[in-house]
Order: sequence, then structure tokens, then C-alpha cells
Amino acid sequence: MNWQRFRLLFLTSSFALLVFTQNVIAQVDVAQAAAADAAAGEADGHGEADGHGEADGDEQEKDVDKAAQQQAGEIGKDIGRNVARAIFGFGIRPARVAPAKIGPAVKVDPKEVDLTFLTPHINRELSLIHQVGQANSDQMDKMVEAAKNARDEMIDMVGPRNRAIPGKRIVMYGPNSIRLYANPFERIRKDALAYAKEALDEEQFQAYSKEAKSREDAEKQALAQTYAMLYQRHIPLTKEQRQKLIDNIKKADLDTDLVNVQVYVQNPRYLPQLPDDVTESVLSKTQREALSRSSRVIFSSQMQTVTMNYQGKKWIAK
Amino acid sequence: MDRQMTTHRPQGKGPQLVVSACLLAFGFLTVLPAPQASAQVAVRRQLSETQFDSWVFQGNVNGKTADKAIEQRLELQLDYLNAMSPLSDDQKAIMRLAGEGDIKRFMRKVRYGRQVLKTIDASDNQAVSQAYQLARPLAQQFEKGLFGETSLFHKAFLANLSEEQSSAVQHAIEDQERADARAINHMLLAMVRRDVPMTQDQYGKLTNLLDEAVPRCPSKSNYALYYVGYFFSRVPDESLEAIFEGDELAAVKKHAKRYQGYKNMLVSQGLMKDDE
Repeated sequence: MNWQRFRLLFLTSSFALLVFTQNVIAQVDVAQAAAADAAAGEADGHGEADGHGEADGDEQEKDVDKAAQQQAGEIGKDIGRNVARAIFGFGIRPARVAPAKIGPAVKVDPKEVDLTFLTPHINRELSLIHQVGQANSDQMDKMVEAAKNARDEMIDMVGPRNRAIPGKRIVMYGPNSIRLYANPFERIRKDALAYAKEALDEEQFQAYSKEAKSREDAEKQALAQTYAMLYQRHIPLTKEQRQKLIDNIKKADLDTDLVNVQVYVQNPRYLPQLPDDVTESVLSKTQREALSRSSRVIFSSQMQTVTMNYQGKKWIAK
Repeated sequence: MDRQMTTHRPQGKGPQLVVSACLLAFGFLTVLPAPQASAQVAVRRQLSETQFDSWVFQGNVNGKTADKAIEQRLELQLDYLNAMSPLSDDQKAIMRLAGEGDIKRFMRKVRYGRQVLKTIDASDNQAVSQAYQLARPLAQQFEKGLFGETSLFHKAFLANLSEEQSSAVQHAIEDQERADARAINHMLLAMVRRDVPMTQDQYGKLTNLLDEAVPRCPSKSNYALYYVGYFFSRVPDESLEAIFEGDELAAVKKHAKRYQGYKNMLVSQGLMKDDE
């Protein structure tokens, strides 16, 4: 082989090698992006996570990064195995099935988000104010206007898809996979208290706020009772322990919601996370050890799980 | 020279292009995954002892830690009974022995399943499915607990406790079942309240109605919510009409009626009798 031929062969081989390398790099990049997204999704509770997502703030970010690195490492190894198998065709350990490719996270443009799915929930709150506060039509008009504005401002709750936001644990999904990084039910009620205070007289407002507080207490009680029941499924608790757990949960002001907890009722294998300070004073050492072996996960919450049968007045038409 | 070049170039370019194309093709071929091959290999990989253990134990317990986890459950069960009605050392010893028998019996079935899994043809989907069918009842047993009504532990418990102790334990279990029912009843109605505007007075009356209709419930079942819902659907209309009116009444009735059709499923799950 003369030098010119060798040079040409060398150049074409180098080019082929370059293309090959870029392909590998591109695949690893896609794998890393997919892994990061998947890890982020898991960490904030989309699907069945392993409980890492419960950690807040920096811890959550670290968990996401660690999970992404591990997953990306695994995927990278898989690509390497595929390459090696294709070249040598033997001696390669069995490969895992390559995960489906997930594109990079799509950032939601707030201007394009339709929040009208919140309207029926807001209308219900207005109906409650009307019912218990005996509001007249002028007062209702004022509150309806304020409620519309408040709904528009709820855009600040909408966040990007496939990304965990450190420090934000509750994520609720609306229609079309809209992600709300706060509890919309809580927000609607908080807004309602604010505009009801402006529109109603003192007596009317007291009547409504008293009802709102009773509802909040009743929900907290239902939530705590359900958590205690779920824990009792996994660890035998005495009557006293169960009551103490209920009391601690009610005091703890958990970042969760009824919409979320009912998912666990229908999936007895899994247990929702509770902060250590809620359980530590209640459970024995053996119980805590047994608890550490339970599958504690975070399920995502879907707003659509609230069945809507109420056909009351549509204070806000759309 | 020029002529030489023109004659040489076409001759040399062909093989080089072929080489380049081959190398490019080689590059792409090596990078592209082989999905079918991967899938087959992945199935083969799944058929191991570890796979069987993960079918049975799931969650945070694996085959290696399962023994300890089950033994710990036995100790927790004994602690629980002891807290409800103090047990003598002899009673504890007998029940522990019986519980250990349950554990051995269960683990023997697990070991058998592991052996079966090793012997089957990895590429045979039907065989894999059959192996899974072996694991499934074990997984259910593990999830529900090994010391239920058919266990040696339970038999030892019935045979060795005094009447007074049995009565105390029974009383405590009933208390727990009532608390479970209240938890699910109230959660279901709190969700109804998310949809239907109602006062605390109305909610209180509605929860009283359901607590009376569902004094106990099979809380360990994943159909517990449907069980409670079914009894909610059987609350007489007149009772609801005494609490609500207009749009609110119509919506509450709709919420209740949506659980009407679950009876057959609850019967087939053994959660209620056909004539109940």
C-alpha cells in the first residue's frame, strides 16, 4: 500500500470513527437527559418513587443528581455493551432493555396555560360563601370579579414539566399534564377568605370563616385517621399509639392532600412518607426497624380524581 | 502526469468509497442497539432467584433480608398482643414456636419457587408466566401477613389464651376495625365535600349516617374504599333528603349511587356475601 492510499484510508477511517464517536456521545447525552428527567419525575413523586423525593430542598436536588448519574451510568454501560456485542459478537454480559427515549424537559409557557379547569372548584367555594354568608347579589358580584382575578394569578403555581423544584413537595396534575407546584384547593380557599373579607360584613365573614375552619379541621382529621390506618396495615399499633400518631400528624401540617392519600388506600403495599419527628415518639425501636423495610413512596396527585357531580350556580361562566 | 492522475483517480476512489461506506455502516451498526436481542436477553436475565424473590417480597425486602423481616413481624405481633392483654412467658414461647412454624412453611414454598424458576426455559414466556403464578399467592400472603386466621400462630393464640385474654384482644381488634372504618368513611365523605358545598353541620350528619352504615371495614383490602362506597350507595334517599336539598342533594345522591355497581366485585373478592 503506497502512502497516498494509506493516507486516504486513514482519513476515511478517522472520519468514520468520528461519526461513530459522536453517535455514542449523542446517545449518552440523550440517555443522561432521559435519566435526569426520569429521576426528577421520580423525585417529585410522579409515578412510584422510592421515597427519595420526600427529602426537601438541597437533599432533593442531591437525590435527583445522584439518581440521574446512576441511571445515566447504567445506560452508558448498556450502550457500551451493545457496541461491544456488535463488534465482537461474543463474551458480553446480557444487556438491559434500553429505556424508552425521553426528550428534554419541555418548559411550559405560562401564557399558553388554560386555567379554566379550576373554575368549577372556585364556583363551589363561591356557592359555599353564598350559602353560609347569606351574601347579596352586589357582594357576590364583587367576589366573582375578585375570584376571576385570583384564578388568573394562580398561573404562578404552574411549573415546568419533568422537573423537580427543590423545596416543593406537593405536585398536583391538572388536565393535559399541567403541573401545579402547590395545592390548588388550599389556594382557592385562601383566596376566597381574602376576597370574602373585603366583600362581606363582619358577621357574614365570621360565618364563612368559621365554616372554612371547620372544613379544614375535618379534612385534617380525615387525613390523619387515614394515615394512621395505613401505618397500622404495616405495623401493629396499639390504640394509644394510633391516637398519638393521629395527634402528631394533625400537628405536623404535612404537605399532602386528601386527593393524594386515597391512592394509598387503594394500594395497600405502599405507605406514604411521614417525617421522623411524627413517628419517633410513637413507635418502638422494633416498629421503626420494620417501618424502614416498608415501601414508602410518593404518588402523584391528580386533580381529576375529584369526581364532579355538583351542578350548582356557575358564578364564573368559564 | 495529468493523464495518469485522471486514470488513477477513478480506480482509487471506488474502493476508498466502499471502505468509507463500510466503515460508516460499521459505525452505525455498532452504535445502533439491537432491540430484539436485548429484549430476549433481558427476559433471560429476569429469570433468576433474585427475580423470584422480588416477585414475592417486593419493596424494600429482598430474599436475603426476608427471614429477618418476617421474624421481626412475628415479634411485632407478639408485642401487639402483649400490649392488648399481657401474655405469660409460656404463652409467648408457644406462640413464637407456632409463628416460626408458619415462617418455615412459607419459606419452604419460596425455596421451591426459586428452584422451579431455575429449571424453566428462559425464552418460554408461558413457563415464565407459570413461575409468576407460583410467586403471586406467596406475595399476597406476605403482604397480608403470615399470621392470619389460617396460621399456626393464630391457632396457638386461640388455644392458649384465657377467656379473659381472648375477650380483651377481640375487643381491641374490634376497636381497630371501627377506627379503620371511620378513617375510610370520613376520607370518602371529605372527598365528596370537595365537590359539594356543605356546612359542618351537614357534613357531621352525613358522617354519622355512614359510620352507622359501615361500622367496620376490611381496611387491608385494596377494595376497602369501594366497600365503604357500596354501603354509602345503600343509605336511603330519605336520610340524605333530611340533610340536603336542591343541587347539593342531587350531587350527594350521585356520589353515593356511583358505587352501586360494585357489589359483584366485592362478593367475588370475598369482602361481602351475596345476600348481604
